[in-house]
Amino acid sequence: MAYRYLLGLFDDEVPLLDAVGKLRHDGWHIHDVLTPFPVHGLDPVLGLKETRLHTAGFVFGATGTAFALLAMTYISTVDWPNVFGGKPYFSLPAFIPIAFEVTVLFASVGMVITYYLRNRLSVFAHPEILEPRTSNDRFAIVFDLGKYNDDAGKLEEALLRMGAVEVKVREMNQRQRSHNEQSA
Amino acid sequence: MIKPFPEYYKLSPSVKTFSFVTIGVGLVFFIIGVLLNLHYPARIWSVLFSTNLYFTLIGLAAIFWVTSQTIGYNGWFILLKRIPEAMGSFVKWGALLMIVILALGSHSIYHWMHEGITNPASPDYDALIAGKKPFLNQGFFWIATIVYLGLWVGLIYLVRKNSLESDKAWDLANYRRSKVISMFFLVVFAVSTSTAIWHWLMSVDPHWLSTLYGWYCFISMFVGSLSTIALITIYLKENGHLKLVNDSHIHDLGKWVFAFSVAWTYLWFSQFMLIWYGNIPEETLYYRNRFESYQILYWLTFFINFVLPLLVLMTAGNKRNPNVLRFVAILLVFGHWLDYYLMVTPGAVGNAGYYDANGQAITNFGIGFMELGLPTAYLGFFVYVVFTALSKSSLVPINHPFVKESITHQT
Amino acid sequence: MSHQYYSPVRDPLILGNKTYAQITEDISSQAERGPTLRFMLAITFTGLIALMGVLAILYTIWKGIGVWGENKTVGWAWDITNFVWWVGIGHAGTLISAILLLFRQRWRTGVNRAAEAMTIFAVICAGLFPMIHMGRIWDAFFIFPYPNSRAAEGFIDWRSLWPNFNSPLLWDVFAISTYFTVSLLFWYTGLLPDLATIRDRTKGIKQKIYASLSFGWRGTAKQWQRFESISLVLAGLATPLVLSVHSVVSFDFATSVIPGWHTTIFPPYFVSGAIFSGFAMVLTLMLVARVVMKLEDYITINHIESMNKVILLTGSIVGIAYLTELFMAWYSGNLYEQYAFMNRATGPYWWSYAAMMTCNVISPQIFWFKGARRNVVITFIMSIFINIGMWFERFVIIVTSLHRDYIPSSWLYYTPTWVEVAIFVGTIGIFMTLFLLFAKYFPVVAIAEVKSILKSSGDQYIAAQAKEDAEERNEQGGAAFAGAYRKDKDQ
Repeated sequence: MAYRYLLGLFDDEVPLLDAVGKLRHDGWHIHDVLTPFPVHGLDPVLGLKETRLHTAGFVFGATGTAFALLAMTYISTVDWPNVFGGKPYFSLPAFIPIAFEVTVLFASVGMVITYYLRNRLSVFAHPEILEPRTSNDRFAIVFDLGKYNDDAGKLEEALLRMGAVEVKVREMNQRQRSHNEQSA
Repeated sequence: MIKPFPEYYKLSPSVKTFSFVTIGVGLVFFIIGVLLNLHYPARIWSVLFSTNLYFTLIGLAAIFWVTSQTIGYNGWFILLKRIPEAMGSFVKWGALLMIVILALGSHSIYHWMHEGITNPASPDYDALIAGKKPFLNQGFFWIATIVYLGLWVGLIYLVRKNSLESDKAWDLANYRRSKVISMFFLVVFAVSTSTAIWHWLMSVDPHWLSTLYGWYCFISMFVGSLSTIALITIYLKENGHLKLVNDSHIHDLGKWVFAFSVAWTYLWFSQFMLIWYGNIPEETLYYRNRFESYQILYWLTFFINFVLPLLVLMTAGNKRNPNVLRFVAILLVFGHWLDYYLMVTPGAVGNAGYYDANGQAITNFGIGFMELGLPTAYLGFFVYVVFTALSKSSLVPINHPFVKESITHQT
Repeated sequence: MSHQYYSPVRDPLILGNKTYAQITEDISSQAERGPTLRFMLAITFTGLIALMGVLAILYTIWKGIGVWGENKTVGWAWDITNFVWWVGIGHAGTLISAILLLFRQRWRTGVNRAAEAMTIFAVICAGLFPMIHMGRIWDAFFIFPYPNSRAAEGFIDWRSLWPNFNSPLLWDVFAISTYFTVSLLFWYTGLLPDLATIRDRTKGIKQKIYASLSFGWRGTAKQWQRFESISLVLAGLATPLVLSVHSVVSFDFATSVIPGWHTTIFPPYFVSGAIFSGFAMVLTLMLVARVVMKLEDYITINHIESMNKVILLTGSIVGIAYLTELFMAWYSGNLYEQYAFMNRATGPYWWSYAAMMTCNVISPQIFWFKGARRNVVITFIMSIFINIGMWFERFVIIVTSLHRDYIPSSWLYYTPTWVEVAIFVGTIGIFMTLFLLFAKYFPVVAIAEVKSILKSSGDQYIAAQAKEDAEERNEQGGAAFAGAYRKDKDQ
């Protein structure tokens, strides 16, 4: 079974932002928006929920600090206590650099892995591309024609009125996840 | 788009009342403290000196912030520009008081100024200090002090004068001039803060040295200054001024306070860890005095200046929240005052050789009337001077080429 | 959502009246084209130099560290000098992408991609040296702390042998490996959208390769939202990280009590020297790349001027640090400290001190002049000077401090052998080879980021804004808000 999508292509971010706002105001459900670069101010207009990636980063980082400090303390005071340069077994100032590095390592590696998983990015991911020019010079508003099959004409007319340079219908073999599903 | 419009601030009765009450109450406390401590001049003069220095350097670092932003082509801060510029006008008062304090009290603060220290025939002879005589001598100390203060006051006057002139008309030449003046200020600032810190602060413990000390003191004053800028911005905004300032400006100020609190910790740690690791007696002396006699206060500075901003200001939401930022900034202004106090007093009091009735050496007088009163009085004085300066011109530099960038600033 | 305003006083960062499509075309067509003859010649040349380095490394491993010129007191010389030099160069990329992002410097978008790649290659070259210096490189994994049986004395004793957590050399292991990992992740995560751009423009086997490389990036609103979030957090993490890395390198020296090494200013001074040398290397590479790859519209003279300003700033900080050290050596009253600095300037290695002072402190002062900052030839010469000067700085710190210890009978003059020289030159070959491969097959300028500043920094938009502003001022009679400045506060 094929999935059909209607794409309104814009050539700039300003009309795109206006159109997204107006279309949502008129009650249309926007399936997704594809852009060649991050468009400032799109998230609130589209109604995207805030990402929780940074919270994940904080949790990973805190884990790293705790792990590094506990491991170094255990090793230096319990497992194999050694005196280095007349310093106490538990010499906190000397542990700070490693604790810091491990914090950063855990936070960034953990966050990047989370990011790749959540965005479904991997060497093996070969998604179908709705419109190759959205990575070049086109900004696309995508509608699911499974939902709006009968309204395709109305949509096209509205998009063109709002400054779309082109409206396309594309048939895909895979279902494209909408922006709501992606944030779930 | 909203066009820039001039906004005028009139010194409000509440600010006047606040200033006069804090000055009055603070001075009463201070005088009580002085009367109780007439036998211990090192305590009195070191509090006066460190507090005066701290508020002067806050004003100076505010100008550093403006000039470095000017050189860095930053646009977002233009709406706030008049606040640090007004803070700079405290420096002339601070400089004046500095000369008075040093003229009367330097003998009580600086051990190396004592008679006979550099005289081999004297019983007080100190060979190490004698070796430093080309740098640590009264003549050079005074010339350098007057040169630093003179350069600062002069350049701050130029920075502010040029900025106020820009309100007259749209003039690109004025903008270009601001960059030249900023460059001169930055060069003078970069060299003179370090050398001034060596003269004024490092020589309080004349045997001790740390190459990082100048930069460490700079970061400390800079965080104090940024926190003050944030406090004044929030105060003015909440009282109906600075109408064009939005949350993004507050957010950016929060970022600066956060980032430089972390930078302060970085330098604090670098200096402490290297001295701890090297474990050379001449160097560890500085920390030993502070850890042994001022333990609670010393860790309090670390807690207020690092742990608090790190935990509280980490999230974007808290940086944007004026109430949270105000809370942190008030504590930071106090925390960095404490930092400066602990740079001077332990050394000055420790070297003065005071003994109590039982013959025990006094190394720490603790926080008393005078340590609470004097900063309070200075705060009132600072607020009065700065807000008076703010009322002298438009709060918005309407003709600055970046002012509209600042108005549309969004993060 | 109000429209953001950008002052026309700013210099344009994208020239040539570009559109989004032209930006894509200009940058990705470089990667899509096959290798040219010029490229093949260049990479053969650098590849041969790299090969020489690899052979010299193998020779060292085969024969042992004795093939180097190190002696009784100078146990660290070229290897650690090269290590610190390369790590320093590896600071520019992260600085540009992280710190300048936080300071809102938009010009960084033109150079950040190449600078980040350079960072990674420089850290690879840096990492080689401590590994070779270990002597028994096959035991290199001993430096990582993991439960092991190396300390076991029979069946009952289960304890592990751990590295020394108090040692700055172990901190280095953590700092450098963390820095390498984070830089690589940061760089590659930023590359994905641009690799997807190339994927969408190519066909056949190339498309398959770029499809895999781009990890299936689609550019949806949610992907971009997460992209921006992770970029900001990684920038926030990379900022203290980049400071920590060179600080930890400086701890290698400063925690010891050797005169000339034990000084508290080392951490920030090393960091600022690292940025100084990193920017010099970015300029050396980009001044060539922008001409060869026809990127003058994206890496403009305004970018070069901004980078020269950073060089002037960090160079001056380094200069102040040198003078602070000199002053404090005298002020300390410590005979050994005073001698160490005297010996640097006037001892047997005076020429390295002179080279350092000339290249790092004196000659960059030319950048006080706008004409010099905007002159490509002067900038290129200066960038080479700074690369040399910063190498000598590390040589001065390491070798001159070590070559005279407390027993005059062990005072020897260190000279490198051909093996050390070959390894050092070889790492330059490795670095250049990796950079050439990157420049050929990857988008060398961050396409998506450049597009995002087109409307604010493209020359045609700036010109339009300037016109609009001028008209607005004329409407109001020339001087907007004339008379707003008041001397009389009662007004």
